[in-house]
Amino acid sequence: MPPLDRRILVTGTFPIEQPQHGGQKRTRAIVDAYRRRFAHVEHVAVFEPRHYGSAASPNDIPLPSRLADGVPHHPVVGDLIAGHAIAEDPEVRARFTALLRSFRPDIIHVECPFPWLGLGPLLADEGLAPRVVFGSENIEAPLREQVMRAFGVDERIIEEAVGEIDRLERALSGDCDLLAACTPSDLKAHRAMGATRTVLAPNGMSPLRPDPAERAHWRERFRAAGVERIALFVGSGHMPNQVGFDEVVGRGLGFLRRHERLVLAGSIGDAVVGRLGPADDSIEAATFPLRAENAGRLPEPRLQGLIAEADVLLLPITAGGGSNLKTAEAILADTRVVATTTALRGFEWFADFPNVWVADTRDDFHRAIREAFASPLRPRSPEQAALAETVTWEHCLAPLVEAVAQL
Amino acid sequence: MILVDLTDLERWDGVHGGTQRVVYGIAKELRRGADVGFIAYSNGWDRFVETSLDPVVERVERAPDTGTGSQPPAAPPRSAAYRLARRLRVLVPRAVRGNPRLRAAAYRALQRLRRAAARLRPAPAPAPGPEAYAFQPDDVVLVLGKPWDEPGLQARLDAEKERVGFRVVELVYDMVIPLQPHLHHPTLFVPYTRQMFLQAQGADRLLAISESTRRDFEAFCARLALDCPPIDVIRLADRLESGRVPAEDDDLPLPDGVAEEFVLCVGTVEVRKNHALLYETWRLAAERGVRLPQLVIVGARGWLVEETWNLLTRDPAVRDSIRILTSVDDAVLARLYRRCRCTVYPSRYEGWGLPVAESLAYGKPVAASSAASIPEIGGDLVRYFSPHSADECLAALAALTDPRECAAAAARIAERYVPTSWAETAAAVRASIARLDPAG
Repeated sequence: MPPLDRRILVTGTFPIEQPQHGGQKRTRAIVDAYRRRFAHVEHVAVFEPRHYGSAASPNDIPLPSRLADGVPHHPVVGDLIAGHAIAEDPEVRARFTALLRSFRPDIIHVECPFPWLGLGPLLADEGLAPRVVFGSENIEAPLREQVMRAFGVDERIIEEAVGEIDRLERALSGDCDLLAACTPSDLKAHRAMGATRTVLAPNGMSPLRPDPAERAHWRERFRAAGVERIALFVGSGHMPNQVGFDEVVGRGLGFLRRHERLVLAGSIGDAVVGRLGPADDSIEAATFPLRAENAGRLPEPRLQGLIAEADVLLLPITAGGGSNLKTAEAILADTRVVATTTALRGFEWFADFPNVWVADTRDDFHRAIREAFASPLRPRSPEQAALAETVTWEHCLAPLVEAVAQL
Repeated sequence: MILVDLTDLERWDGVHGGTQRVVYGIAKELRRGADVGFIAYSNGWDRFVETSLDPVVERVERAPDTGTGSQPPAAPPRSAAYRLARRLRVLVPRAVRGNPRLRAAAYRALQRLRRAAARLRPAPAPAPGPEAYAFQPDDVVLVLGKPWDEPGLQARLDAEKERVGFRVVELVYDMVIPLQPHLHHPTLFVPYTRQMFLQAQGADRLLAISESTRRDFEAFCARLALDCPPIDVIRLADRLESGRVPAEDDDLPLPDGVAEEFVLCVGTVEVRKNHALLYETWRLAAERGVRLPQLVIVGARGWLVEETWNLLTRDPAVRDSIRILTSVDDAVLARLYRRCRCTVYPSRYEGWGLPVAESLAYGKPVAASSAASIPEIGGDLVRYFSPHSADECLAALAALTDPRECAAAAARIAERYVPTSWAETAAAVRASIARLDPAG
């Protein structure tokens, strides 16, 4: 089928050149899916350069340092600053405007609501009226409130930021031409906010294809360290991941035995270890390295090798309304999984699969990990194997692509 | 076979401190049984080897009493790494050895050196080294010393246990380092905390020297999601029982500078023991015109006490009322206990509080802080004060130094305090071992 002659601009608040966290991977998959169906697709991010370094495309617009400097004090409001900058910061506005004028999009896909803070006014000023697709990853206002509260952000800032996010989500839900949500519950919430044309586009995952050499690398590494069983948590340092880790895993790893390790992969490792502080400062920090290893950010082939070698995959997610990409990854890995109920949102059917433990308290989560280590891997039924295939990106985003083609 | 680990005791060549007394006292009693053997860990060879308690007994029981300090013992067999570290110690300038902070840094450097030396184990060993102890599945390994000072010991023990299937019982003295880190030098925080973690996972049963220590260990386990093994509380003996201590007062003179009438405080001068409160108390007494006897402190200079040491030894208002004896052997210590008016123990935290028990065993009234385990020792036989209140400490001492009150307190102690012998402590250890689940 020849590509449809549409000009689609996808925009967000993080680059997608080297996707690490879930939001990046979803946006990357959307852009790729659009490119398979439409003739002209561009992506632009307005982003915090210190969080994403050099992993940006030529289109992407880093926040000027005078704005980015304020971000570390209140990390959750960084997205709000980026959104406002599109209209209000001269440098960001000029670059965004130039892109709009040269590309002339028919459709703008706003992934997460934040860019709309500045993009709405900018489009009006430019006299442009493209169709707008709102790509929702979460119901952001309650999520951000939960995270900010967990991190002890000043109440006044929480109230101000959450109020603004709530107004933004409601406005964009009502004004957009199409709303794409990750989960049925999010879809329902957006309809209540005024969204009329909606599509469910759950998160998906690329099938796991580990390189045997990478698997051998990890096997040898763990054998040399006397490690026989590993529980793996792959995640970004995104705050809901940290909050979930603290709640159901915690920093006391005495539930892991001598030959067992918790392995953290992705920037969650640096985030957890960084917040532990120096080893001589707390008993958690002193003992964490006895049973945990921070593998850090890994190139995709190495990460795939690690996932394939893991005995148990952990999904310790307690905050957030969207479906979790890591859940899709775990489904495709076909190994033991210990997950919270929240982590299975959007994939509730997965709870009935063999080799899956659902636990929502720290004690239960620890117990489930122990049980998982001790349990032989059981095969999936043919029906379950077919159901697992439905979590691939291609399958998940097909309704979104089709709905956009109809705009 | 009960195998008592003597690693720490074999390597100790100074006056026995609290830990060495405990290991020695229990080991000496246990060896009366035919089912008891001794092992020590060789970090140079990363293995346990069979050893004997005899050289230690010889050193402790029969060495001549110097009157003021300990006799250097005959050198026991040691690992190459240990010998290297000991030899290098002479390279540490005297100024460094006299300064606790520099000494701590030097200690850390030497520990690193020991570990580095330990890593330099001969790959193809020119000689097979000492024969590794052949553990049996029905053995019980009893670790009573300071395994946190011996890198590799616990890991080797865990590995052997996993391979052979014997059982392990370990003694926990206190949790001051993990739970009250401000009361100890930071050097030991990581190794000690990790040792407690590994002990919780590796031991089949633990011994604690007080209910307070048991509670602290359970709190530690709860915080780190550790399954706490069963813990039995044993009561430590309170008699100085080495062969050098006469049964009655020997009428020999007291050390120079000790007055006829004095209050005794036994324990290393370190931040946890809270000698600062004694300084404040004697200072307060001087200001208020309350007459207190001389304070005799028996204890080496330990961690984090530079300021306190300065105050105790240089304040003109109290320095003549305070005498510090840094090296005292058991015979002299017994003499001091027998002749003091009363004893004082202001510690901020204890796993037990041996000097309180010793004082009671010698029939001497005690004024002690009410912190942690201390009230378990003598109940209402001890006069307590807050470790944070010089006022309360002064009131307690003023009462106990009154001849009539002191005599009444001594009479109560004589009537009601039941001393504990090492034989009884060892019997409690055996009882705990008997409660172990069967091997395998």
